[in-house]
Amino acid sequence: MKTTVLASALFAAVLGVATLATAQAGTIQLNPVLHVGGNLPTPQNVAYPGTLKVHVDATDIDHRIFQVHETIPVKAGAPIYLLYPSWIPGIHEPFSDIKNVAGLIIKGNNGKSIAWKRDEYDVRAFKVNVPAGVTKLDVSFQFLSSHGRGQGPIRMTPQMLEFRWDQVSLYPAGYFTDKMQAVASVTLPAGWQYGSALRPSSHSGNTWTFKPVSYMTLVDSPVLAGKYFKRLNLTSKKSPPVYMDIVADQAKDLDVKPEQLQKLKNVVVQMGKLYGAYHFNHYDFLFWLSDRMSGEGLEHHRSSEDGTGPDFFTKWDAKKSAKPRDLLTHEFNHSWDGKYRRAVDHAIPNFNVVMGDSLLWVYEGQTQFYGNVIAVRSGLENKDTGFAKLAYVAATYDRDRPGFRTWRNIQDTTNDPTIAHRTPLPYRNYQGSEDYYSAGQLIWLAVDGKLRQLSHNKHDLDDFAHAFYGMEPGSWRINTFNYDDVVNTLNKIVPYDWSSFLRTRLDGHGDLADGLKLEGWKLVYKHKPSKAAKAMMAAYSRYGVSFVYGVGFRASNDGKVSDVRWQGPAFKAGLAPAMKIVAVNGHDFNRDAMEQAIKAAHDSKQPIKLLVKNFNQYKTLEIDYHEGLMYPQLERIKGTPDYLSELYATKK
Amino acid sequence: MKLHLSPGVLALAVTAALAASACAQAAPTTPIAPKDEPYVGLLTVDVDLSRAPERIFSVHESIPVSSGPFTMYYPKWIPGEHMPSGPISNVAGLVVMANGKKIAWRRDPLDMYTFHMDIPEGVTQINVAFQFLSPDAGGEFGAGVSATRNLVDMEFNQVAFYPAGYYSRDVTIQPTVELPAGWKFASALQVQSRDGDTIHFAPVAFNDFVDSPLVAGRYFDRVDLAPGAKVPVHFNVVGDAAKDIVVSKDELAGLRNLVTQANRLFGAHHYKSYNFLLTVSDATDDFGLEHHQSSDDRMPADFLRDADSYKRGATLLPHEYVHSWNGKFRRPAKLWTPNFNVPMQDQMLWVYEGLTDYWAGVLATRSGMWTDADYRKSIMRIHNAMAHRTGRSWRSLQDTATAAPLTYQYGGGWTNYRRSTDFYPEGQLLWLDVDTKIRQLSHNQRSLDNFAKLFYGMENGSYLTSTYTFNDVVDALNQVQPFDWATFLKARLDYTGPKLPEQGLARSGWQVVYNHTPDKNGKDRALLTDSIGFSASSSGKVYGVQWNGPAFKAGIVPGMTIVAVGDGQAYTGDVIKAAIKQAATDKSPIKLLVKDGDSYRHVNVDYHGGLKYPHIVRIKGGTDYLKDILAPVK
Repeated sequence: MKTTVLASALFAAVLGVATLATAQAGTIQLNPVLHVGGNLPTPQNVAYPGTLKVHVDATDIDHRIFQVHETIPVKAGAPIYLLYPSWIPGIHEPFSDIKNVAGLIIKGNNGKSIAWKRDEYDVRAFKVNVPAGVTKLDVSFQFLSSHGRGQGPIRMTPQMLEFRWDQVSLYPAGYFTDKMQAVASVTLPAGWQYGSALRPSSHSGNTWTFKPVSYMTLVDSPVLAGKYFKRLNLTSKKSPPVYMDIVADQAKDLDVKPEQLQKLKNVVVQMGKLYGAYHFNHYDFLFWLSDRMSGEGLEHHRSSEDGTGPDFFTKWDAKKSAKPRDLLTHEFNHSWDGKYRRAVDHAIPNFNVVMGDSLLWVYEGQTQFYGNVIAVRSGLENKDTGFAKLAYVAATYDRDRPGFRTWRNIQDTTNDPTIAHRTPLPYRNYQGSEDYYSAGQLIWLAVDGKLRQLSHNKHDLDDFAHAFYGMEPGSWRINTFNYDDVVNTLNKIVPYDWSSFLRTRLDGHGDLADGLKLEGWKLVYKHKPSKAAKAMMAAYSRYGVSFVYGVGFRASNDGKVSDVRWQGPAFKAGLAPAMKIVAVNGHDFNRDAMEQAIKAAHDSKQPIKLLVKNFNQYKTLEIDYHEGLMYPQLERIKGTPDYLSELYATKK
Repeated sequence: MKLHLSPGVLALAVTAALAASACAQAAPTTPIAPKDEPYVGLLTVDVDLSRAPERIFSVHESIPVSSGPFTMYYPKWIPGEHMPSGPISNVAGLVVMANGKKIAWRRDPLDMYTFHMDIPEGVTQINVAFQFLSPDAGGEFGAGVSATRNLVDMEFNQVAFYPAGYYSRDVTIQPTVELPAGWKFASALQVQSRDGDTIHFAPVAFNDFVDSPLVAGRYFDRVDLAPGAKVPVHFNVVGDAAKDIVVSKDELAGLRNLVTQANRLFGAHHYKSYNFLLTVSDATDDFGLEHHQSSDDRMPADFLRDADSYKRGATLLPHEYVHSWNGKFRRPAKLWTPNFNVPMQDQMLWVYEGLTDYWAGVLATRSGMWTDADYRKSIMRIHNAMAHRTGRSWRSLQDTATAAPLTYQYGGGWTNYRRSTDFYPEGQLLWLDVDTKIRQLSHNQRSLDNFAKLFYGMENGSYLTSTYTFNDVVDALNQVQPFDWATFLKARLDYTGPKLPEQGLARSGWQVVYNHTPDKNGKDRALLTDSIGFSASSSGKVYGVQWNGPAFKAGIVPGMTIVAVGDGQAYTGDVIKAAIKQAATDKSPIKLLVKDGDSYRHVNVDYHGGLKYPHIVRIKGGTDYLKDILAPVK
């Protein structure tokens, strides 16, 4: 899953959610920590007798309703629990849309209704006493997809729809989901086309029936469909088939230029060079361009859900606005890191046992690292943008995450999906949140630098990538790992006390941006942004204004404060989140007025006066801050080798 | 003409309505003197309103001409609007043809309403085609928003040119109107024939054509206000929804009483028949425009179905109806013009509008549309507003009328100091002064009702305009009650100084007093203009500041926003009132955070007089003439 593009850094953009799940049949070493307590049977590693059939009618786009009909073979005369998936791989928390399941009616194959009862300990478990003589359950319900208004991400518009099968199916408790066969089918609005990692076995009218897969693979294979559809072939000479299935609000948004196609193809090539193996038999980017559907970034083994704005292709070369494009490289990277290689506590036998998130600094942190690196290596982003982003990430941990210097560490943030569920936080900078993404990126940058330093640039993190992910070309089983496997692999490349190196950063309260130094660069703050930073700020301007590295707050464009750096100058003056800054030095608040005020205070040594509104109360705050505007930037350390430029350079 | 608004906010509304108006006043260098002789030949005009819901009125007009230079006018000075407000800027697509050939027209460089052309040999008629682009917002009075998906209000001055050089009564025109399918209509024009949705009207003098608007709509009703009478009076209503046009029993009774009471007041009528043409819509402006035999009355959608809304606007229909006598039949000599492109002079509007407004309130009460208490509340508010006109220090009531084309259009705050169309509300106080003076001098044997009969009650049934001068008014008053009326009137009309010159309310036995407590049964109507000295929207946007008042002295000006009060409390009506009360007790200044443009500052207002609520109360021992004035005439 991918979080903020700039890794929770300054720009306050939040991309969506994400995931993992699936495997090819085979012996898997799975998480031994199973469901604790309650009435549900423990999942067994045995085949489920019979095949589940799931049909989704997705034609009611006006009401945004998915109509589900499911047939589940059962044992006559015995009780059974039907489960609605809870721990969705990639989301890293007990998440699900159970509240939007309605109209659940279960009938036997004799046509008679059977009463269901929700389990007293688990709201996603439905107990059904199967009557004698009944061998199949006919389950129907509606999945009422979001209308916005805080109901969750919007997944149906008049032009497109997207769903995961965990949202539209129940499955029997007591079995490993990779031992359970399912045949899925979907009816789409007339004339729409779709993309998915599922491949059809038959098709009639607007209804597609897919080849049988395990329930684990089914949940890992979402469907994206739309009125305006385009499929790009990104397959390289050495890769299995890779496609990009794109839907858009309007046909004109699908205009992909040859040079854009080339850069997307470069991603597939560069990934192959990095890892030396692909772990899928085919891959589909499910890419939507919309300002109506909510955005997303959720990884799967053989596909990814990637949702972004409508102008991804049509405003590609806008020099004044550089939109990061590492969403695609990030989610693609997860096919290796997260889906094929999966932390053992993460690999759960079914979707309703507890998942462990302790190695998310590998799963997401290293993906954040390579997502950014590959975006530049492939040419999706230019080097200046890549370096500017890295400067902001480094600055964030240098100045805007005071909680990691005092009370919290990065390891503990791997619990944050379950703690905070990505809900807004009162003091994000001090509380910390899913910092294993971007702090993880910096930790892996330090590992890369250390490997280069120790080996005099003979070895680097690419060697680790090759060793850790490059085995079994073509295999897409789940290959689990634990912490020791990571340390041991590093040791095989360059012997060193890697465990101390990692634990210092994961468990300590020190400098997280020290990797830059090992790469031959340092972080500096300037009063003016670089060209690349300016272009990035323009791309994110609608998300608000940020003065986090200096005076210490961020706010919406109309002055609604969203975060105030703990014990920073603004904090000390009394500014708090949720206040509204009405005026700065007596003039309407906006980015420009605030910048002028910070500059003026730098020169005059007078305080910055903010007129703020708290509930219905106005007051004036005086901020004693005179260091001027702060724009982070990377600068070379003279006399040292420039490893960073090598890291970001395209691999031949 | 009447704007449906209480006097306190009158100027504000005019400002809003006219914000974008232009006042083209340049006179042509060589005005063509109009002749009072028949224009030879019949003009025809076909007004296609089938696209009225799209606010496009298509016009095809034919004008008989002879070869040589020819000049035509678009009506400029609109009767009842009292200013050069003909909506020429909404005329588009003007093409003049003759014998299938285009004739070039040239606009007079000094008068935008005058069009010259050279008529070739052999041409006896020109065909003038254009569209009138009825506005979707803004626009003035009769040319404000006048069409919706469901209705259209057609003032005919908008859709015809006429030949220069003639009295408009000497030009004859035959109108045809095409309506959207199935719409019904009403107008004072005489129908000659109809063909589906196309109505052919009888030929009519051009001045009567302009004086006879038409309303039409999908939702239409027509009610008889004088059942069985020889001279019919009808109430026609169009609206945007069927539920909006339902006339209630009480409303019907009040309107029928109005017809009876008006006729008893004047003792004669000046129409063949009369048609109220009421539009109830939230898209059109709220105002009324008088005509001789009809009135174009526009009110909010809820006017007929909401008792409060009806009461708020109750004087509009009486006002426009009274104008049939006062304004159309009897007209100040200099307000009468031979055609619509000769400038009007407005100095007698204190009779034309002021006396009409006075009788509108009186008749609304005599007819039962208002109670006596409603009337008293209205006169109290007028008295209060006019007592706070700081501009009387430099400008007389007379000047507000003389400068009517300006006062109708003034805006930008400072209404109390600039003054506005005060000849309406202060005109009411003036005529109450006259009425009570007659009553006092005659020991209540005579009243302004006697003046009404004397001045308007002649020539029953005639609607040939009869003009008058200031001296005629004075003479008539003297006939009713000998007195030095010229001095009496001039002392009030020409007065400049600190005090309200009219004393009619006191003479009627009533006075306005102020205290800190709102009316027990009334709403909390503390007017901040009376106390701290400004008026503002509920969100603190200042639209009026009393010149030299406490707020003024602290630097508050119109257009600012008051953001917060006292210790930073966000502005609301309740918050400012609480602060005014507090300052009356603790004598500390009222602290305001204000925003002017994009900058903020703190100001302190030194005001400790507390809130002031106006109340109208009897003067002990005085005769209650008001009761007699408001009593229905038997």
